Amino acid sequence: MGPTAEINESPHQAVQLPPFLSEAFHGLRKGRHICRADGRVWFDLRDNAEQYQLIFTALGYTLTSHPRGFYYFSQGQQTRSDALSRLVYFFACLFSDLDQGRFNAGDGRWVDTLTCIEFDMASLTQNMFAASDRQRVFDQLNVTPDSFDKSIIASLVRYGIAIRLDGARLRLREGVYRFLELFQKCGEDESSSKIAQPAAPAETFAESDDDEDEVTGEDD
Amino acid sequence: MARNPREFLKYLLDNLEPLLEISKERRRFTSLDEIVLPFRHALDEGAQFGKRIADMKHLGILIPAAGEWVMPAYVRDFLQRLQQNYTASAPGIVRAIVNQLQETTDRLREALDHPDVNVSERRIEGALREADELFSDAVDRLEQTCLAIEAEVAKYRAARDLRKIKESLRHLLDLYENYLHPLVDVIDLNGLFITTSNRLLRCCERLLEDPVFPAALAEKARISLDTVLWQRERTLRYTASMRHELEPLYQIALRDSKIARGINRVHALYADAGEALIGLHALARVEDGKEATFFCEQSIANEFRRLKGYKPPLPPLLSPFSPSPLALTPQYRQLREELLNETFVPDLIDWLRKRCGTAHADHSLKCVSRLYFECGDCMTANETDRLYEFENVTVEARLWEWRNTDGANRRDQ
Repeated sequence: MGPTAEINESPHQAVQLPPFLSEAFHGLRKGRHICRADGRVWFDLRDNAEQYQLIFTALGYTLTSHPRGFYYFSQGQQTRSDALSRLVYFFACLFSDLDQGRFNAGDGRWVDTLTCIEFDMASLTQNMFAASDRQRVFDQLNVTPDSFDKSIIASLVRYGIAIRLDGARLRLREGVYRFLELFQKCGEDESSSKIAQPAAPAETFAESDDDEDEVTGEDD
Repeated sequence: MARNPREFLKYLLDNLEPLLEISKERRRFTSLDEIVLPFRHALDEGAQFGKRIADMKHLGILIPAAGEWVMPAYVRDFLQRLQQNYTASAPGIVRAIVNQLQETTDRLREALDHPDVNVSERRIEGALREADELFSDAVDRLEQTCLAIEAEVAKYRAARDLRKIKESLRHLLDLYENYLHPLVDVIDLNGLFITTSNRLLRCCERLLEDPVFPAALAEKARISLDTVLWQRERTLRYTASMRHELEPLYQIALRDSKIARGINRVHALYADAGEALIGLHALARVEDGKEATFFCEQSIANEFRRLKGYKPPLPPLLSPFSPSPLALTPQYRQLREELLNETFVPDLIDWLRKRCGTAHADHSLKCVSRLYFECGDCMTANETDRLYEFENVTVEARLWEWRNTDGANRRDQ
């Protein structure tokens, strides 16, 4: 949709749509987290947040604005359990490494500088599969060093959680804080009992078998 | 050996941590490596250890004694006293001191209420002095705690090494939860500290205003009043500033500690993956969506227009004629009841077709299927097939007979 998109309801009345509605919707609908690095789309979302909210609500979506300044659809299709499992475990390993001072990131204050760290893909992969217990879990999740890029990094890029700087480096984007908050929630004492109890399956993975083939992490 | 006090103090400030380590025990050093070790633990790799040790010897912080290097007793004492100043006071002790102050103030007020008693003047003087001392003690301890917090905050801000940052954050958590927070409860505006010091101030004002009390006592009360006022003001301000400084760091420490705990828990869940992982995934909602097939400029415009122009449908108008009865397909239960009254039906499908109508074949055939499962012993299939005509379809099926010999019993079931 062009920058002057409008709907003519009558000769005297015209409804102006946000100029980047199409790009924003395409991205958000794919599960993308739109942040400042997305440039004009993000600025358009920020400036016309109210109008976007109105349109997306009318279409049955909930646009969420995160305090860290990124936008995403919070009501949509839940990621497939194994894809989500891979991502959560990847972040558990990554955050654990950062917490232990690997990657030489942020002088130990890595939480607030997470989006400034540039990861070398080769060393990232190497670190992920360095310990045998990690290898075992990744094996169960069907992730090998060779398929690591396709199964995990590609999904991260697709969801707008990470960006490839060039072929060999990766930088996380603001969307990663959703995962960080997950770990924070898990670390809270009262939530630990909730984690231990399995949730109702209907609410957890409301995804049909037909969708499974199409939701696998293919990069754009 | 010329010893410059400014250089000496600067050296102490720059190297406080390793020096405190050295001063802990009466350590004697035989080699350079032994002296370097505490510096290596406390300082970064880039620090010039050789120069620091040379300066230490030059400033007299280490002196030779019988072929070994030792720290002089006066430096050790100085460092230990300095360390005491950086020790936070337990809130329980401060509370106990403030409680004691409250009792003393009560005693002082009682003595002021009975100025005619012979020993009253001495009692007032004693109680006032004791209250002053207790108040100063409480204030000193509060300031000591603030000083300890200030030092820890500075340490955290200066730390570059991961181990030290983590240690410092842990210490900050401890200082906030176990020291500052309970102390803030004591010295809060409605807390014991303010109430008690207000009582003490009122006693001092009475001593100043009432001419019954001698001038010497009034002078002491004036000094106490001034001291309590400014010391209280200073302490409250200092504590408030410390709280202001520590609060965000405490939040960071708390968050980081939760994240670290969460990482460990998630690792444990994956190591022993089972149903618990589902609970975890319920927390992690990352939405995924396919490309929207209905989205294009025109469709979104249509959708938008439709939503804007949406009007709820009007209710249907009533006709002047009375409505004709609806032709309802009989329910399976009704058909079964009716069938159970029949002893013999030569063609069951035909019998059902007459009752259910010929519009839809599936209803009649579904009934046959259900009857077969429920009353199969009453049904017999003939060898011959038959064609059954429905409006839209012709069904070829076996000819089923119905024979019900014990209908009454079946109805009871």
